[in-house]
Amino acid sequence: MQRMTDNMRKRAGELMAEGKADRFLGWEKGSFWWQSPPVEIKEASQTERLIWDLFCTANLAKYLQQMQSLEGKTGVFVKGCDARGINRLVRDGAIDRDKVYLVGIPCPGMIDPDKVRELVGDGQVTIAPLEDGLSLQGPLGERKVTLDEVALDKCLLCRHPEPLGCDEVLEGKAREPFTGDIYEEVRELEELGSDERYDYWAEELSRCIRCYACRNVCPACNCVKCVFDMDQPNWLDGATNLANNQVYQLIRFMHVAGRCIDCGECERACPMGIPLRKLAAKVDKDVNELFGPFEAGLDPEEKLPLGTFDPNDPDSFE
Amino acid sequence: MSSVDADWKPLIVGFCCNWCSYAGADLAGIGRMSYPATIRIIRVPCSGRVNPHFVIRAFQKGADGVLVAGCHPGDCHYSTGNFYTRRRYLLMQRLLEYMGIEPARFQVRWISAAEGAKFAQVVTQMTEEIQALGPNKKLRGGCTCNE
Amino acid sequence: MKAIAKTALPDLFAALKGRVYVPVREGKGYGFALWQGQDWPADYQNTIVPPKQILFPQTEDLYTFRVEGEDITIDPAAPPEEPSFIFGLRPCDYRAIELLDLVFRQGPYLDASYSKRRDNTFLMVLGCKEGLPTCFCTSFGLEPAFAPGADWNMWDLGEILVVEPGTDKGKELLEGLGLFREATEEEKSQVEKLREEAKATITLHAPTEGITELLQENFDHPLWDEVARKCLECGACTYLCPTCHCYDMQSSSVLGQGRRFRCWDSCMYCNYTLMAGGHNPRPSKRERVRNRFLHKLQYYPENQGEFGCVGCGRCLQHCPVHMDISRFMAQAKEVMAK
Repeated sequence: MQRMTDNMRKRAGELMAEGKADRFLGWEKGSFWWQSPPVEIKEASQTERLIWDLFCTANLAKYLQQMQSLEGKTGVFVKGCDARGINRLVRDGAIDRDKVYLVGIPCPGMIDPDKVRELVGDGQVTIAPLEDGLSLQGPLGERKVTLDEVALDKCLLCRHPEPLGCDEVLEGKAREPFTGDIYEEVRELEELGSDERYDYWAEELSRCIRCYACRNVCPACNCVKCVFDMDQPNWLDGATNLANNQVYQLIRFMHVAGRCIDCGECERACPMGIPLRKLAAKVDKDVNELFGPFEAGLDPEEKLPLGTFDPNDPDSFE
Repeated sequence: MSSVDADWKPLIVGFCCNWCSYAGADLAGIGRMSYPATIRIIRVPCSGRVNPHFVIRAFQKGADGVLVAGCHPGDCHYSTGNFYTRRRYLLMQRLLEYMGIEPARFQVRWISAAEGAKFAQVVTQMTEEIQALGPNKKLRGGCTCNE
Repeated sequence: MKAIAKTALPDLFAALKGRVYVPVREGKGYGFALWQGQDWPADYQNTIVPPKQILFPQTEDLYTFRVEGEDITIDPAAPPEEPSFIFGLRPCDYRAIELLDLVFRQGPYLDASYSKRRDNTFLMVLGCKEGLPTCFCTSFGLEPAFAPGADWNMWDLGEILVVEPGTDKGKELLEGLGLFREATEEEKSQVEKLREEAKATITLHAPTEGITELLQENFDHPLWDEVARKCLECGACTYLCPTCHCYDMQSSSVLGQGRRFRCWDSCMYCNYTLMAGGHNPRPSKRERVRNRFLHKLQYYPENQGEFGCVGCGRCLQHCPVHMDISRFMAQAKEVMAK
């Protein structure tokens, strides 16, 4: 970790000195042990703020959109999911690839703070790397665990921890890509009856407070003006009730259909703990089943499943 | 649905493409074919014009069923519009079903300008299916408050 | 001071005549919901959504209407008549309700719906034994295990809950319930100890001294750019804030029936200050983020004489990119003072 942090600081400084990047996006240590929020480095003297640890979860892709109007190039440190998010934005024409410089970091997977809290409590927690795992120390004592025992669920299912399409990649070891069934949870729900599924989603979505955190972290939600921010036509009023919340999520997942990179940020950002990945994965599963194998964000030139067609597509409509 | 009023008839919103399905509906009328008066037709230039929002909007505003009807794949007036429609609604149909909305409430059919009888038959069948399900309460806006 | 065994809580909830709201497991944490026989949660710290949602619901009907032919019927909506009991809210959230009172119940305009709910609601505060790392209530002069002015203050002594009424209303309620016994001297001293010890568990501090004046002088300071850059402009912080109270009024109708309602709105949203002509006095994220912080730290003190933040730490906990108002205050002190 420390070696990667040193490398990042060094590389960011060098690239800014060489003129390859005018600013850098990375992560800095936040106020608490479980927080490593995004940071923008404006000059070489600030590179000491950069860090790399197991809490650099926030997907940085989204920031590039607002930085498009800035002069010069923005350097970005990217994990697998950040890189796919950026490919996504480049594909959508939301950002200009020539205005970003991507430095890849092979990602070991990030920690779910809740899983750590469950093991060692909250408060003063320290996490130290061991040869074959992590040592957690907290108010409830010390525990030795493997990273997978405390990793975010979304990281356990990650198929591309290695960043793709970067200008350079820092030396490091990514976790093993997940090769199993990423749709297991979806299948479980699909097997339920229609009413049970309705009740399941009714219970989950009735909690939604429509803070739009899921939308605002999503690298596939890159509209300049979102339909849900429109007054005329007003597609959805501001009442938070089950029907409106269902409509919001239905439309949002239709909008990101075939474009979702499965970074899991929506679910992480949701303060209400709604399992949004189960909706994203459902759409992804259907795209794959109906229109052939497809993974979004792997290639900035990719053809989007809903932006193209095959005359021989399945047709159940008669 | 025993609690439903015996006179209750479903309200179906039908998005019909101008070139095929709308003409098909016209043909059904000209041919004096009878079908239930449950459908309100909205003419669209192409089934590809139908945004998923429109479908959801219909449910929000009180529809019991929504029909999207367009030219048969390959016959689109704009060559390829309905190929996109097909992909879009194959997905949305499954997503609606996944969230527990009865599949009969949202249907897509290919109806050509020559298929007046098919139009009448589709509306009849859809009406029967929705009649059996009863009024739709899901996704409906306006009158529900969580409190 | 009175005492009740925790095992008798269901009897207490059943004896309270009205709607009893208790913390209930919801998603990743807790939320206030109507008591329906659930057990008292053992590991409850605080709710994700603050109890303001009971006094000031996220969506609340103002009136409903029905159109039949030429006839239009309008039915005003009114908050429920029966009393509510919020059992187990924390001192920070109680203080936040006092701050909402300043907005909704003071001055020439009285918010009828809020006031009615407020008058009808008993606030039964449960002192915190231990703060979370994100708690900084003491920075705003609060005590983590005591809320002056609350109907009831309660302390959890393991098997026993000790109650001290703080208002006439609270006293009357407590005396009317036969379920309590007098607290022993031992229990009283345990409460004193708990209150003292709780203070020490609040480890996060936000520098409040002189912050209002400092912010008044630095409306255009470049620090705002840096702070705003990180924000994603979602409304999680404002919707989860116990003192945020902005709302919008909208209406909707379906097949001739509809309602006019009010619903929470957030100053973080791009159309919050958008005017009919298209002008937006807070055109970018910078102005919007600045507004959120200034409302808590400058406008509230200017208008109400009190800080608009109670240090509950929800925004620190739930912000997807970990924006931190306590850190901002420290940063402002350091950077703006120069």
